[in-house]
Amino acid sequence: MNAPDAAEPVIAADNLSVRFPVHTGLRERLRTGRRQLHAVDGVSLAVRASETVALIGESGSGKSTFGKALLHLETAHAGAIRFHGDDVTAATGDRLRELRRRRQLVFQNPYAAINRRRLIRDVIAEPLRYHQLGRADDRRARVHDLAGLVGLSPEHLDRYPHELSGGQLQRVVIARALALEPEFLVADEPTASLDVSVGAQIVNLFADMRDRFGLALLYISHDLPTVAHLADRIAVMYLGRIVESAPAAELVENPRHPYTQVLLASVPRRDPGHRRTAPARGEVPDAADRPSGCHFRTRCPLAMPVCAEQVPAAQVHGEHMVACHAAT
Amino acid sequence: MIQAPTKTTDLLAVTGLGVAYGDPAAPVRAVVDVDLTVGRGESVGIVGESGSGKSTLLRALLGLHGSGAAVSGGIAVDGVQLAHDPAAMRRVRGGTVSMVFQDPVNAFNPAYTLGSQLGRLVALHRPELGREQRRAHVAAMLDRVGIPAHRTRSHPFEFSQGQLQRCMIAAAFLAGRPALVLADEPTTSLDVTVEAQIVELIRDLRAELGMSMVLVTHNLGLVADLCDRVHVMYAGRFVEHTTIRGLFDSPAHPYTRALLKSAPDLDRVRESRGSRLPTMRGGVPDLAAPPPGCPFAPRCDEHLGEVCDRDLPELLPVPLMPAARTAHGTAPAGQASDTLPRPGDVRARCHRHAASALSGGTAVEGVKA
Repeated sequence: MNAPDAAEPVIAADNLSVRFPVHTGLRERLRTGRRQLHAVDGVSLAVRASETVALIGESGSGKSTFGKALLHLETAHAGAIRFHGDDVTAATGDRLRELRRRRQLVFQNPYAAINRRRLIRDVIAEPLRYHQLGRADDRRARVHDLAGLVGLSPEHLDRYPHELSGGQLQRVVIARALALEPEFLVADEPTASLDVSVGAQIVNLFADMRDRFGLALLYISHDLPTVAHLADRIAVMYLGRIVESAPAAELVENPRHPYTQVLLASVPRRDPGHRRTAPARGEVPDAADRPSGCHFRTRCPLAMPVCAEQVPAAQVHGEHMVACHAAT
Repeated sequence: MIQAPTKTTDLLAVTGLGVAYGDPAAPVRAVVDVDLTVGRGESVGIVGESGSGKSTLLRALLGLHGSGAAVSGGIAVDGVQLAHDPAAMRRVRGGTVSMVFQDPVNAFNPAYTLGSQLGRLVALHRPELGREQRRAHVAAMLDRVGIPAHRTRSHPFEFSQGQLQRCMIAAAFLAGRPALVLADEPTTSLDVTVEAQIVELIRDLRAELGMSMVLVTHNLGLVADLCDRVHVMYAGRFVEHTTIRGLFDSPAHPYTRALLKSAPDLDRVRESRGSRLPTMRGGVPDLAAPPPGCPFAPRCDEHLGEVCDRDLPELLPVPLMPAARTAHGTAPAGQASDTLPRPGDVRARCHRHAASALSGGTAVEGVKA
């Protein structure tokens, strides 16, 4: 492991882009050429040790694709991924295998992330076996420790996934991700399939693990209140680009991008006097056919002619970044 | 069994409803002894987590519970008893009482155009309309929910989830002339900006047409948006009944309090950051073998001891908290006074309140013998 330096990000994306080919009919292709879907379009983001960066946005914003690209689970089309300052974008073979050990992922749906035919103890031990760490009885002891760490009792280890609840299974997935002592963890909507009270336990578990192991955590979610509670910084993504990022409390209290303002206004409040109105028109456009200029302009209450012509540049004020023609 | 008197004006009157699945000797009791009334033009929320029985309850109201379920108790719509009369249930289903389902993608038939599916509904509920009038009605329905009329020729896969949810709302609210709409998590599968649009649409349609609604959700904020009062459900039973203001300002049941605390509040971000979220220990009880006493007792932070583990508490009126009284006295201007709790509005199934109600000499109404 490199010398720990608080200021040095564990992982950083530098203008990272991910594109997918759009499959169309022959006639369409002859008329318009091959089209590409820009899932992630020039995103720069860094996560330091013991830090939580949250990525929020609606379905189709590209936040999950970005998280996967950081882990080499999607191929970056342009830009760079730096791990402790080293450019690892093109890593392959043993180097990639080592990187996989140091960066892990917790999926949204624990039922889909676990082999239903294996005992919980084997599920948690799988990464240890794959990376050939320790002997069989070392691994056995390690699995017990991991289970205790995430709040599972030893009797859970000899059960099958269908005998556990959704919250317990998510703990299993987290234990498996922590088995290799990663330095960077991506959590992709880890509480979306859970009840509120169980989700709160999982959010607390992430905070505990981050503080205990100094994890760099990228927390992907659409749940603004949870993210505002947990994260140090929040980045707001819309159709492949980060439109605003700021320290969490600052973003919630002083949102500067109209999209962030719309997201905040759309969150239900615990106030019977508060009447929620719909602040944005329509839905997120097709990512394969994004509006020109600022992608949000078709739904934006502040849209001006310039928004259709120019991509808004990032304006940085201290730790607050916003990309909007209307923001000053 | 003494029942709370049912006012003749109640549109929906559910008494002692139970839904049980599986082996009759050891049934899974998904819904137990539920009383629910909905007045004309009223909107009532039912809040609970997975497995609380809230969706089962809603489906049983329309006889959609499936053949494996045993339903007991009474369901009366407009004074007509439907519970054990399939023919009467069929007359009401979709007509007087319609339903908005959680998953709009699976609620429509993928093989037919939206126009033909909605047209068939209109033909069923408005047989007086001719072919052309029916077509015009479908176009007007779609237009009302913000879908261009030419989309009647599109199939479900050509719509986004939000658009399909709008189509289902059109089907439920506008195809017939429903007096009551049952909505089961109508926004759960949608993004938050689209959810806000759907909330606005439902609110406008109800203001325009005046139908009653029962909304089932796990989302406390959605209840605040759309309901006048709310039941909190846990392990198949109603554990609290309160107004919307009562829910947020003075929740009476320990479960309601714990549920509210476990979700972070966007308005209190600075206070909660750096700390851990309060959580409930354990999970929901096994409905096939529920604990003998209060079903929430094993997870309760306000446990009173033996009585909670031994006896099931009754759903009793809760004396209003001083805070709630103050709130009632100082309603902000423009605030509908019916959202504020009055004495008797708030009922909770908790031994704490049973003890204080008896010692305080509060009149106890509607108690089951």
